[in-house]
Amino acid sequence: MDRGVSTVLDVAICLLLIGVAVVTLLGASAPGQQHQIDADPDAATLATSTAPVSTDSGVVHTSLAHHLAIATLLEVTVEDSALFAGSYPDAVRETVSSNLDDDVIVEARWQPYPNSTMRGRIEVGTPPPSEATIAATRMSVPIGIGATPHTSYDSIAESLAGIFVDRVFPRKRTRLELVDGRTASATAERYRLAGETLAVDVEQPLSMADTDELDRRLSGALSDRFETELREEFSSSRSAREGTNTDVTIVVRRWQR
Amino acid sequence: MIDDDRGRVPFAILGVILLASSVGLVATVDDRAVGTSSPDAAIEGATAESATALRASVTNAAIDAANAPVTTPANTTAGSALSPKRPFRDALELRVYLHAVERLDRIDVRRDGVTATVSLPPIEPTTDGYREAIDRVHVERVGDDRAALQVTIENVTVTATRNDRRVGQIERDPTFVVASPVLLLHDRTSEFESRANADLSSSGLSRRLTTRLYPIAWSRGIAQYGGAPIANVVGTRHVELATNDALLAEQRAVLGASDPGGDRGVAAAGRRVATTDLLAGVGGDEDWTDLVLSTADEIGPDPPDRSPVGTWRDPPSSQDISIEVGSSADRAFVKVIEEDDTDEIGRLLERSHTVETKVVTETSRLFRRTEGGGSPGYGWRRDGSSTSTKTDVSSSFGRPPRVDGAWTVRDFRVYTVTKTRTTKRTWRKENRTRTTERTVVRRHLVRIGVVARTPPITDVPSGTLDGPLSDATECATARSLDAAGGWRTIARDAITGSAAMSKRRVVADPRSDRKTGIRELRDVREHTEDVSTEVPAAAIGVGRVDPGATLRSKLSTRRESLLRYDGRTPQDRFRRGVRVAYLDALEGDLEERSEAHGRTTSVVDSAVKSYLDPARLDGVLAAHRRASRPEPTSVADPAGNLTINVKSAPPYLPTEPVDRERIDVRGQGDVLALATRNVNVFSSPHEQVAESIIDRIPWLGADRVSLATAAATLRAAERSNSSVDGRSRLRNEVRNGDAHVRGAIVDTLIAEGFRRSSAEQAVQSESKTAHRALAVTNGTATERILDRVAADSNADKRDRVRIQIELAIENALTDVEARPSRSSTSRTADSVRETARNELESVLADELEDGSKEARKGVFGAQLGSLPAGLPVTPVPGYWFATANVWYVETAGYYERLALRANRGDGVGSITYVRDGGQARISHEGDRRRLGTAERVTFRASTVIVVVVPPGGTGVGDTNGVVDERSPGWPLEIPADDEAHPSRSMPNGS
Repeated sequence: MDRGVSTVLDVAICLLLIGVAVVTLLGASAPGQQHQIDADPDAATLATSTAPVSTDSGVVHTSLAHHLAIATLLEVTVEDSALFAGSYPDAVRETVSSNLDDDVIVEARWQPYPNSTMRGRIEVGTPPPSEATIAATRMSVPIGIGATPHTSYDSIAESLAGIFVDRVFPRKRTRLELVDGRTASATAERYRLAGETLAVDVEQPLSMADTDELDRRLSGALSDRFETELREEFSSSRSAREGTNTDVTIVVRRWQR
Repeated sequence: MIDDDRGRVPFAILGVILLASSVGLVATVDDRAVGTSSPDAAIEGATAESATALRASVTNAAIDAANAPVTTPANTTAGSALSPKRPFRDALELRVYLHAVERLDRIDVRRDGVTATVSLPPIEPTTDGYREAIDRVHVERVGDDRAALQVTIENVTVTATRNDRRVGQIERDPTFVVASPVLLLHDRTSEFESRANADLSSSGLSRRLTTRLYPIAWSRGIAQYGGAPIANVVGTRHVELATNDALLAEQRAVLGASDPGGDRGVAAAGRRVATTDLLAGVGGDEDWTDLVLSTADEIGPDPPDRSPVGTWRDPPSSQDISIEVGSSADRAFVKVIEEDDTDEIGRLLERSHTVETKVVTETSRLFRRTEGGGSPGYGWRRDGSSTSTKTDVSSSFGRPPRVDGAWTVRDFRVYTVTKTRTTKRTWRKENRTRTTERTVVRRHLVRIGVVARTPPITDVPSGTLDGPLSDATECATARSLDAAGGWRTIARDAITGSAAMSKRRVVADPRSDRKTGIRELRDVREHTEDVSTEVPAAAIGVGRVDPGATLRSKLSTRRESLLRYDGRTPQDRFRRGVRVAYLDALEGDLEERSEAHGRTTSVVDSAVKSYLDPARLDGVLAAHRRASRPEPTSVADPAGNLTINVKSAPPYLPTEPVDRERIDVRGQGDVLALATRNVNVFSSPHEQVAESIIDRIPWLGADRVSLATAAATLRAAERSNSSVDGRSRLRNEVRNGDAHVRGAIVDTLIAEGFRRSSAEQAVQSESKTAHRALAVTNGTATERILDRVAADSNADKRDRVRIQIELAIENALTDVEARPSRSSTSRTADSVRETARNELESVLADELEDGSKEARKGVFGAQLGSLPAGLPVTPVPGYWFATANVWYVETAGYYERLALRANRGDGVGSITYVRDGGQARISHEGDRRRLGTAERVTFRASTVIVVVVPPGGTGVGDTNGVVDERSPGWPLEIPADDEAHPSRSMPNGS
C-alpha cells in the first residue's frame, strides 16, 4: 500500500518539477528574441550576392553592395541638381529590392566631407514604422585609392575633385566613345549635363573630343567648390584631411514591429 | 520489502535534476548574450565585405588593364617583374593585387567590441616585390565560351582584435568569377595580330588578301584584254582596297565584329573601283584617298546592307580556263595529209589493199638408213672414191605447215622426199684391189604452204583476204609459187634448207580513194579539235597543270570511238589507218606542247621564287577559291550575351597620309598607316623575265621580239600625238617583218596551185603598218586572203588552203626576218610611256574635273592600255593558249589605334581594350610607375596573283611602265610608341 501511495506522489512531484523547468527555459529564451534582430546576414547578402544589371553601356555584373556604391556615385547631386542621368541607379534599386526581405531597408550614401553640397544617396526597401525595433549594420565601399596625403585646403579639394571626375568620366574611355559614332552622342550628353550642373562650358572641348580639357574644367569647378566648403567646415587643413571620405557608406537596417 | 526498495530512484529526484539543469542552461544562454563575445561575427562580416572589395578590385583592374594592355614590358622596376611571355596577364594580376591591397585595407568591421580587418601581404616597390604580388594572383578564362574571368587571390587574412589584443585570425585563398571579358579581348586581339602576320601557309590576312585581289585582278585583266583602256591591272589602290576588306573580314572572324567605319570605307573604295576607276595613276593617289574617305562619309553611319561593289565578292564567272586541242589538230592534220615523201594517206591506201604472200615449208625427217661397209680390213688403203646422189619426190598426205597468226595458208602440199647417196670406194693392198659400196638413204616429210596476209597497219586489225582482195590473193599466191619453182622444186629444196620464201605482194584495185581518206581525216580532226579540258586558270599560270598531258589523257580515253571503224575490209582498214595516223600525230604534237609548257613553268617558278616560295602557290590556289565573309559567333558569359564592338583608327587604311584629326587620333600631323608594294613580274614581253623564256626556245633569238609585240608597241606609239623616239625605225622593222610573212604566204599559195599574180594581189593590204602586222599575227589576215584567193574553191580546198596559210604564217613568224629587234621595241615602248605621262600632266593642268576624265581616258586608254604585256604561256607559235601574268603583292601596316569594346562595364562605361602605342602605368605608394607598352597592332601580308587571259591580243599586265609599284609609305615605318600621351590608368572606382 505504502508503496502505491509513494509512487503516485513521486510521479506528481516529478511532473511538477518538469513543469517548473519548462517555464524557466521559456522565460529565459522568450525575451531574448527581441535582442536577436540582426542585420548582419542581410549585409552579408548584399556584400556577397551578385547580379547583372543592365546599363546604357552594357551589363554590370557584380555584388549588390558594389552596385549600390556605383549607383550612389551616379545619383550625386550638387545643391540638389543631378550631375548624371541614366537608367542604372533605378535598375540597381529594382535588383537590390528584389533581393531584400520586406522588413529590411538599405541606404547607401556618399559625401566627400560632412555638410558638403555635393552628395549622393540611394535608399532601397521599406521604411520601418516609428515604433519598430531596429538592428543596423554598416559597411563601406571605397571609391578611390592612392590619394596622397595633402596638406592644404586647395590640394585636398583638388585631389577629391580629381578622384571623383576620373572615376565618373574616365578620360581615355570617354574619348574613345566621343570619336565613335555609335556612342558619341550619349557620352556628349553626359558631359553636357554635368557641365550644366557645375556651370562649366563643355562645348568647345567636346567638339574636339578633348577629354583631358573636359575633365580639367569639370574637376576645376568642383575643386573650387570643395575648397570654399572645406574652409567653412573645418578649422584646419589637417582636420579637413581627416574629415574627408572617399568611401560609400551602406547601412542595412532590419526592423521588427 | 526492504529488498524490493533497493536500487529504486524516485521520479521526484529526476524532476529535481531536470529543473536544476534548465536553470543552469538559462544562465549560460544569458551569459553568452550579454557577456564576453566571440570574434566570429566580426570575422564573418569582414569576410563578406571583402567579397565586394575583391570583386570591385578585379572589375577595375580589368578595365585598367584593358585600357592600357601591356604587350611589351618596360625596362623599369615594375616592368621587369612581368614575364615577357605573358606580360598582359602578369600586368593584370599585378593590378588586381594593388587594387585589392588598397581596398581590403579599408575594411573595418566592428561587432560587439571585436574589430575585424582584412589584409594582404604588403608589397615592396621592388621587382621582387611586384613579382611576389603577381605570384599570389591567378587569372584564368572560364565558362562555356571562356569569356569570364576567374581570379584566385592567395593569403587574404582576416584578423579579429579586441582591445588591441588579437582574438582570432583566418587566412583564405578566395576564388571567384567576374563577368569581365578582359582576357578574351586580349587573346582575340593577339590572335588577330598573329593571323594578320601569317603567311600563306596558314589562314589569315595573306589568304584573305589573295581571295580579294584575285577577282579584282581578273576582272581588270580580262577587261584589259578585251580592249578596256587599262594600263595598270593591279595598282596600289586595289591592294589597298583588298587589304582593307581582308582586314575587316579578319576582324569579324577573330575579334567578333568589324569597324562599321571600315566597312563604309571599303564600300566607298569598292564603288570607285567598280565604276569610275578604269584607269591607273589618274589624278594622283591623294585624290583617290579623298574620294574614298568622302564617299565613306556620304554613305553615312549605317554601313550598307549589301556591298555595292559587286566585283570582288562575287568571283568572276569563270576562273577556269578551257584549253582546246585547237591548232594541234591542224598540225596533225597537215602532217598526215602532206603529199611529200611521207605521203601517209597514199601509203595507207596502198597498204590496206595489199596482199602479201610467201612460201613456207616445214620439214621432218622420217628415217636414215646406211648399207654397206667401210674398209675391207687391216692393210687396205683407200685408193679412190665416187659419190652419186638421187632424190625422189613423191606426193603424200597430211596437214599444212604451221604459220604465224597473221598469215593464212592459201594452198599446200605434202611430199616425201627420199635422198639416196651412194659412195663407191676403191681399196688397194699391195697389188690387190677391192671395191666397196656404201649407201645412205634419208627420207623427209616436207609440208609446203603458200601463205598470205594483209600487211600490218599500226592499231588496225588484220584484213580479210576474201572478198575484194580474193583476186589479188590468188594472183599473189600463184606468183609466189612460180617464183619458188613449183611444188616439187620447193620440196626438193626444203630438205637442204634452201627453199625460197618468195615473198610477193599484189595490190588490189583500190576500193577506196584518197578523197575518202581526207574525208576521214577531216572528220576526226573536227571531232578532236574541240576536245578541251577545263583547268583552273591560276594553276596554268603558275605551271601547276600541264594542259598537254591533260588533253592527251582525255584523247586516249576516247581513242576507240574516234577510230570508229573496226572492220577487216580494205576500206575499213584504210579509214581506220588514216585515223590512227592522225591521232598519233596529234599525240606527238601534244607531247611537244607539254615540253614547251614545262619550259614556261620553270621560268614562272624561278620568277616567282625570288618573291615567294613556289610551294606556297598551292596555298594561293586554295585561297583563291574561297572568298567568304565570316559571321561572328555569339559568346556568352554569366551576365548574358557578350557583344564586341571594334573601333579602329583609321577605320579604313589609306596608302596616302591622312591627318590624325580626320581619323580621330590624338596628336598632330599625318598618319601613314598602310604601305603596299606590287611587282608585275611580266610587265611586258620585252622586259627581262620574259626574255629568259625566249632564250630557252633555241630558234628564237634573244635580241628580237615577236612581230605581234613589236606591232602592238608600234600601234601604241602611233596613237601618241607627240613624237615618240624610235618610232620610224620600229615601223621599218615591223614593215619588213610583215613583208616577210606575207611573202611566205605568197609562196604557199603558189605551191597550192594559184597564180603568182592572184596570190600577190590577195596578200595586199592598205592598212597602216602596225595594223597590217597585227592582222597577220592574230589571224584576221588569213580569212581576208582566203576570201580573195579561194572564193570559188570548194570547202575541202578552202580548208586545206587555210591550214597551209596558217602554217606558213606560224613558221614565218619564227624566222629572224620576221622578228623586229628588241632594242627598237623597248626604246619605243619606254618613249610611249614617257610621252603619255607628259601629256597627262598637261591635260590635267589645262582642264579640270569632268573634262579631264575623258582626256585622261584618251591618253591612257589609247596608248598605255594597248601596250602589250604578259607572259605567253608556251609561247611557241601554235601552242600559245594563254597569256599569263603574275603580280607579287606585299602589304604592311598598323592601326594607329585598335579598340575593342565589350558590353561589360563599371556603370560609367564599357570595358575597352585599346592598343594605341600608349604606356601602361600603375599607382603604388603614391607614385606612378611604368609597366610597359600597349603596342600598336601591326600586320604584314604577301601573296602572288596570277591572271590568265586567252592568247592573242595585247595580253595582260601593267603597261604604264611601273613594274615595281610602291605606295608612298613603302617600306612601312611604324612610329615609335607614344611617350607623349601616356595612357592614364583609371583611379579605382567603387
